Amino acid sequence: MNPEKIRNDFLVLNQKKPPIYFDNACMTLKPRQVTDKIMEYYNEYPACGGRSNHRLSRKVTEEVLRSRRIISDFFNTKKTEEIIFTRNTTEGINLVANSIKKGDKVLCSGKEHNSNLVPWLVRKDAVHKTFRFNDIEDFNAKIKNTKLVSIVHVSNVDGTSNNVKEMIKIAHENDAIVLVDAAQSAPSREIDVRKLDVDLMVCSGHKMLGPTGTGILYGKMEVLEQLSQFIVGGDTVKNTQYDSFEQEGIPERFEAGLQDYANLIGLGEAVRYLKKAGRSDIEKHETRLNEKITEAFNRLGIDIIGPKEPEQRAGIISFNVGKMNHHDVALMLDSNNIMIRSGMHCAHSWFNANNVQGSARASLYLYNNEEEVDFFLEKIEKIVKIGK
Amino acid sequence: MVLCFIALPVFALLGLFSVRYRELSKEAIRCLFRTVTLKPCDTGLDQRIRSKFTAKLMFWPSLARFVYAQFTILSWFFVILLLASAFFSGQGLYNYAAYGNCNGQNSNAFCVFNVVRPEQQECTTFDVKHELYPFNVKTKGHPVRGNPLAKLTIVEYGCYSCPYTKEAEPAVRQILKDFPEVNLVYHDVPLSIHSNSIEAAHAALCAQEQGKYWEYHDKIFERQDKLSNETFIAFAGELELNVTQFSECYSTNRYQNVVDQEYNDALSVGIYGTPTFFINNANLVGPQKYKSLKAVIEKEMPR
Repeated sequence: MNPEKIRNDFLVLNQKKPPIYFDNACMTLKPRQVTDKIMEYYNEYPACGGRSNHRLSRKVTEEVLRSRRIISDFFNTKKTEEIIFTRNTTEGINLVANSIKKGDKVLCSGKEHNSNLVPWLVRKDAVHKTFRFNDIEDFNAKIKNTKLVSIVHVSNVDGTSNNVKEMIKIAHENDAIVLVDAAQSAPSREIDVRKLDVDLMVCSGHKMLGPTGTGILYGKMEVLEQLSQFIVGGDTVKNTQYDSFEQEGIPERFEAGLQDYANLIGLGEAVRYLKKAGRSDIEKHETRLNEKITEAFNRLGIDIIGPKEPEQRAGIISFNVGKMNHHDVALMLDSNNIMIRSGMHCAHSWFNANNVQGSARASLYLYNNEEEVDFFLEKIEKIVKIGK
Repeated sequence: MVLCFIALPVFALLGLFSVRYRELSKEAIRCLFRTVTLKPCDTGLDQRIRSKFTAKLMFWPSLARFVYAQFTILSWFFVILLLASAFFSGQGLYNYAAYGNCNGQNSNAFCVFNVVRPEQQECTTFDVKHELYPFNVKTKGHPVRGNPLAKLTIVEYGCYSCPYTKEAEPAVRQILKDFPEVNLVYHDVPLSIHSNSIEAAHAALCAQEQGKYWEYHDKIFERQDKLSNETFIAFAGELELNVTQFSECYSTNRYQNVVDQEYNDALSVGIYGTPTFFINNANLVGPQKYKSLKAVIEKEMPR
């Protein structure tokens, strides 16, 4: 993987004064191939998919199917139909949460994004339990009578991972099904859903070079068949009477209304781009850059949230500069054309439980390079002096 | 967040031109309200301003550290400055509206509001505009134009080579024509920045020797763009003066001491530019329009 060559594909990085974009855990940039593909839909076949029988409509249907196949192949699903398009990870989790029944026990880790916490909390008839993040012993202790385990793969707070493979094994031994939030892992980790034996998995297109408003829900066919319909209406039914309806097959029954064809087609192109770049190479590249940042942070005495070893945090460095407010750090970097995130990163529960006010978070991706890291560290060093 | 006291008027003003600043001024209003009610600002505006300021100073880490750490104190300092400057500006505006001078009634100090008015331009060699001292103005022994028994005298300090002095000439002459009870005393202040100003002063005094001071005065301004030793002699001929006598007077600088004395007198009055007019204790600096002179004359005219 050649980051310099890759950078040429991102128009925003080819401006006169390109931003140093280290907010990839929130949203990644989009390569030209993705935006071109989106424009191809609007310019060449801007029609309905799966409904009309004319040439343009058939083209849309084919392109969306192509996109679904690329994604299916990317995650090595058994069937293409096991890929459901959603608007984002949050919608995918809500779709699953909609099927939870009264008294069902849902087990989550203690470092979940609000999207994998609130959908369970609003189901007051369900029983929500929490285990310590990546603590197999605690997981084992709490798995009994669990209906669904819903866990984050890679935490957006600090980049650490749950041992999902082991947890899935234990969950299955206890007759629980597992939903993995792969929003942070899918963009840069090799995920083979069959090897992982995961029942359900969700991720977002916008964090993996794809368009905004696109997400993926993977589910084993037998699990998807158990799920209740979530949003219903056009395209989710085969036939209706005044007093009844016959639901569509999978995946259509979960994709209500006219779809965002342009972006779904763009998402397929983004996944194709990622496959070509190689996820293991992306992960190695992120870790290499993170090593450099971690080494400098340790020298400067900056507090890193999470383990000290960069390989355990992949492309994420969540940190605080002394007593300086994390928003101040981000705003000062912004004034120097460096974009990072600050705050509680939609994981308020973890920050509140650990009595941490928030953090600044730099997150790396395939197009970031050493030159950017050096500039970032140069500015951080000055901020450290200001905060002393 | 005390800086919202400053942020609000600044953003409100900029908001007249850009929607972006309207949003910021709304945030500033909220911050201001919360500050007044002793609550912390919750819009993040304070943080953004502090961080932006600090980031601009990152080249000087010590200064940036000081600004970051003492931002609240610095904010108070600027707020006090703003309030003081708003008070004095308001006072100046009131004076300007009420008396036509931002420094108050009868003040002859420099007024910033006047600076853009064309009549406030003047020829000067002095860097500082300062107080004038009308009590040092002398009229005795100087040529008088107009009614010698007039009730009111305009004392003008001008320079023969100054374009602004020339610009004021028509208004002054019209005043003398329209107000028979007003006369004029002209003091020459030859400024070294203009060529031939000192020579013109000498020439006018040589013409005065032959009783044609004002005729020569007018001639110099008429031909201001063509002043030279030759033209000064030529003017004498045109005014039917004794050219031999004039030439001798002019070439020997006969009135050097008078020219020097006039200049020193002007300094003692505090003249910093020409033309400067005194009408009683009122003063006007720059090429005044007829209307301005008339207004002061009507005000100062003895009843």
